[in-house]
Amino acid sequence: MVLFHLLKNITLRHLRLHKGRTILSIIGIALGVGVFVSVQMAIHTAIESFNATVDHVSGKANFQITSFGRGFSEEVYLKVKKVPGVKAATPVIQYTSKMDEPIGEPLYLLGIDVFSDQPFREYQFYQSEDEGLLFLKDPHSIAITEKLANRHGLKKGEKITLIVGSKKVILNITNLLKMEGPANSLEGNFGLIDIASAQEALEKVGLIDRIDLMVDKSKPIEAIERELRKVIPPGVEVRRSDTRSGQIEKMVSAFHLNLTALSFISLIVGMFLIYNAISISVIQRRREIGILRSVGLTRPQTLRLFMGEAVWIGCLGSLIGIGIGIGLAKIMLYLVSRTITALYILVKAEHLLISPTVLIAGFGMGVLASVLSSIGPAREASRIAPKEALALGTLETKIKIRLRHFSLIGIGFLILSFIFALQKPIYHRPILGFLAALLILIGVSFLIPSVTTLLNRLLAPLLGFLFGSEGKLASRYIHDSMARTVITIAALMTALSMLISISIMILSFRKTVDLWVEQSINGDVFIFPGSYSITGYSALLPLEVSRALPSLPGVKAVDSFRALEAEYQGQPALIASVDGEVFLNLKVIRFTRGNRQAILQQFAAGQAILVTESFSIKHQVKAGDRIKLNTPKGEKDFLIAGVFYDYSSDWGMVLLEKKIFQSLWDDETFHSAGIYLKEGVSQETFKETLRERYSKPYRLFVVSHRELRNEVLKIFDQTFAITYALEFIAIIVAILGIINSLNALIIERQRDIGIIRAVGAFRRQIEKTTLIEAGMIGFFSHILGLLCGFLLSVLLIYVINKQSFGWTIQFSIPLWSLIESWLVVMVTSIGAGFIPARRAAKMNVVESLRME
Amino acid sequence: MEDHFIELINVTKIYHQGDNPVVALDHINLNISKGEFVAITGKSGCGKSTLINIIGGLDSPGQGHVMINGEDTSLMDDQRLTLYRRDRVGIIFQFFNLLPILNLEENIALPYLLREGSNPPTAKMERLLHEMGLYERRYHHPHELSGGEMQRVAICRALINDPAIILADEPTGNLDSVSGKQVLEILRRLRNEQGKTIVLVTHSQEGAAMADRVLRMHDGKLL
Ligand SMILES: Nc1ncnc2c1ncn2[C@@H]1O[C@H](COP(=O)(O)OP(=O)(O)OP(=O)(O)O)[C@@H](O)[C@H]1O
Ligand SMILES: [Mg+2]
Repeated sequence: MVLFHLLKNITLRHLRLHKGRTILSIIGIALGVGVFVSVQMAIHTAIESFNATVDHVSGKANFQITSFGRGFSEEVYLKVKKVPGVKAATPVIQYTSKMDEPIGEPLYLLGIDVFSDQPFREYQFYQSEDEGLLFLKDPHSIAITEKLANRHGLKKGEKITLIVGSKKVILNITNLLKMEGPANSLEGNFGLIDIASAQEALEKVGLIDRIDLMVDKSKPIEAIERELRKVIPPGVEVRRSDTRSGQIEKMVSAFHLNLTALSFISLIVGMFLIYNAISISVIQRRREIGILRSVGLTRPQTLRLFMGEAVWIGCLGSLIGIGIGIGLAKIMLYLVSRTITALYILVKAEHLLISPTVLIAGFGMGVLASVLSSIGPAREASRIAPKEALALGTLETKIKIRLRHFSLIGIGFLILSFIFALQKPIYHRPILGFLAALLILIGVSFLIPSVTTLLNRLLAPLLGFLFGSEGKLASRYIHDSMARTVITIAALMTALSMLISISIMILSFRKTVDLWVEQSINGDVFIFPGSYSITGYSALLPLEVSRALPSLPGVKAVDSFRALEAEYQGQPALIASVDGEVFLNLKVIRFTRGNRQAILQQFAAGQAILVTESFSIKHQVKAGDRIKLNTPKGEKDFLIAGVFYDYSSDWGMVLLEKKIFQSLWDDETFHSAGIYLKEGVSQETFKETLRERYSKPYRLFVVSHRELRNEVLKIFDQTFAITYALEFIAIIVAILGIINSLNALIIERQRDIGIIRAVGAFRRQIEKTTLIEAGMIGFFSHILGLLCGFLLSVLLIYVINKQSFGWTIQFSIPLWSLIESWLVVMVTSIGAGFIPARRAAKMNVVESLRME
Repeated sequence: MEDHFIELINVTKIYHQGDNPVVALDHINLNISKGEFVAITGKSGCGKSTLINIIGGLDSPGQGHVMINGEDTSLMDDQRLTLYRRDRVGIIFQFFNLLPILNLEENIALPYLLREGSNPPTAKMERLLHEMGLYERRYHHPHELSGGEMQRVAICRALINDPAIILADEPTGNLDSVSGKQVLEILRRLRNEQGKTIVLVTHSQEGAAMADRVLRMHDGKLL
């Protein structure tokens, strides 16, 4: 115990003595943990808030009867109610509307039958009994939450304009809801209306979305389920409420996995920082360790001494990291919800859920990362022989790196990663692909010494020429402190290679999507429901409009689109309906293989269906295969005519010809339409026609091809904003690494610097040497980052993305942004060199010479 | 025949260590002529190194003036002081102070390299290496040399820019007697053959015997 105290005191004293380095390492780990915690917390919050919404809205129901599509006949309700064992039943319509500008926020509407709904959901009106009756009497009444009302200054008795699908619906706010039960959903953006007015507003008279049921618990559940199935039509499903959860997790799982992988980058970079800090500490304390060893410190004790240092740094860093994480999580939550809303489903969450599991995981990861990265240097310390205490004069601190050894190991890792990359996904997820990415990083890291040595040798004459003696010295120092610089370069390279590979991936993807929009989404004018941007596939064009479109003046053809959020083999999927003739004659669709004309003819004739590339990859089906789909007319069998490139959703989509779809689903609505105009008809004239006829009752969103393309790219860029944010933090951590290790090198070289100053070097010469070194570290890191980044981007594009989302991205190298990143790296790494350079230049000559 | 080549006027240096100040140099007045060989002796801690460092421009006096050939180095800024160190004095230390990462030739060339940005002429380098008997070992690194050899490298380095003043702080302190004698012999030749002004701090009788003048120090004062 006494010994432990002694060792602990020694460690703490050193940590305090080298405050700068300790602080930087702590910040490094803190940022790594912070990013991880914030990302996990944001996703957790988003998912939980969605689940909570589902739970609140489902209330106490233990069974639900649902269908995908426009809903099913309310007659089903009457039948279901009578099934023995059913204690209570209530019909429901749910719909996400948009509050009209200037509010512009989503409003989740629940259409209920007030009487039968009583036992299911708990909402509290803010008034006396008779006022509650207002809600029933007024056919245009709505009850909104107190929170929403306060936020936007809405009052009881006022009117509110909603865009339901494309329709402007003006409702009277008759009641306010207390913040209980379903009112808590979506940050209070919740409204209750009567089911009849919901049906009317949504043009769904006679249809309902769902029936909630409560059953007699004393009877066997399976029996009730069987009875229920007997009375419901095909395409309608009975579900137990407990199978509902997990829905959103499935939808966003690929997104979640990718973000998690990204959030580890900062931690990995932080690990290099710790490794560096501990090994510096070992080198600086060689003599001290020698002395301690010679008076009887054992090897395991030495090991513990240094790993203890890492534990301190890890604990402190992780604690601070949790704080940072909670701070960052707010921003992260905003980015995550925006992306999930844009890509998958509406989530609105503002209040962070602080999950102890995430915090503990973040803390554990931080400490584990520090301890792992300290093993190497700590073992080195434990090998120090007692006699080193006696060594005088110039200490030989050089760690010899066996270049060939390292290169071979590196190449071995790269080969292994290649083998991993060729493997099939596990549970639809590219687990081995991510492993391959890690192996590439490790592999290239092992190549750093030889690549750096080579580049340094090639560059030395140039540096001498450009910067004279300072250039020569810097080059010499880089070579001589290889063991140290390798780690710094590895850290920066890791961060850069991620940045580079992700940039290549994103920009290639962007280009691919752009090209796809350019080619495949054709038409002159596009029409969407006014609430489309937040409500996605639940918003429809009004029937009046969609029916009239083909016969409007100037219209040549209408490329209509209707999609249902369905399931295929337990995975979310889209079933869509399009006009086969338009596809055949006007659209440019690119198929993965096969004759375009032949495929489309088959499709237009209603003989076969098309699937997207992501569907084909996700479910391992190809052209010529048959698949079964659940339809309101029962399970049907379809032939796949072709697989086409599509980047609109990673769920995978099945395209049915319009006539087939309508015959099965009995649904002629659609979400959006691309309009081909007749020769000589201008977009403006057509837009004017639409405005004249429909702008009163409806809110439509009419855009040109160019505007649509910009919109698509805007959403694309928003989606990836979070990626860049995470990357940015990893780079900051790496820059800390440069400062840290140059600082350490300066301290280590203090005596050298003293000598050089003594024989006549100016301060600025010392400063310049250090800056050149910083620049070289940046330069080498960038070269290696390019190499590694290129490999990673190939992996990302051809393996990870393909397996996660199932789409082909055309590889393209964003030359300009690579040059840009190079400039940024050079500037920041030289910038990072300034602190150590100043420090080096300011050293007192006599004191530097006196110190041993 | 005092020519005031090196002149110290009332030089005082006080180190403040915590609360109690240490007077390392106490009102030193000293005059050294061009081409003179001066030895300084005294007990450990009496201020010899401090004196050498101040003459060599490594350190600055707290009070007083250090005139080198009529120029006051105590008034110089860091830039000019560095130039002075680089071009006008050569310093030899007890612990050699060679750079471990540079080989022998590069260590010698360093002050020249710092001045010109390029290596010194081969002829000059070879002459020095031959003179000091180091030619065969010119690509070796310091840790492969003996103490005597290291000190000879340090002397070469001090000479590469051809300074008029050579300062040596116990150059034989870490050497055996044979190597020590060799080093002293070299210093004597430098003064006799090249007319260098030499200030030598030494504990040895031989060193003192070689000098034109021997100064004794005690508690920061010249006796
Ligand atoms: N940086 C410093 N801080 C505080 N005191 C110092 C410092 N440098 C030197 N001293 C003190 O100044 C006095 C003179 O030191 P100096 O190194 O000049 O002695 P010296 O005569 O060279 O001794 P030695 O023969 O042991 O080398 C000593 O008492 C020493 O402790
Ligand atoms: Mg001394």
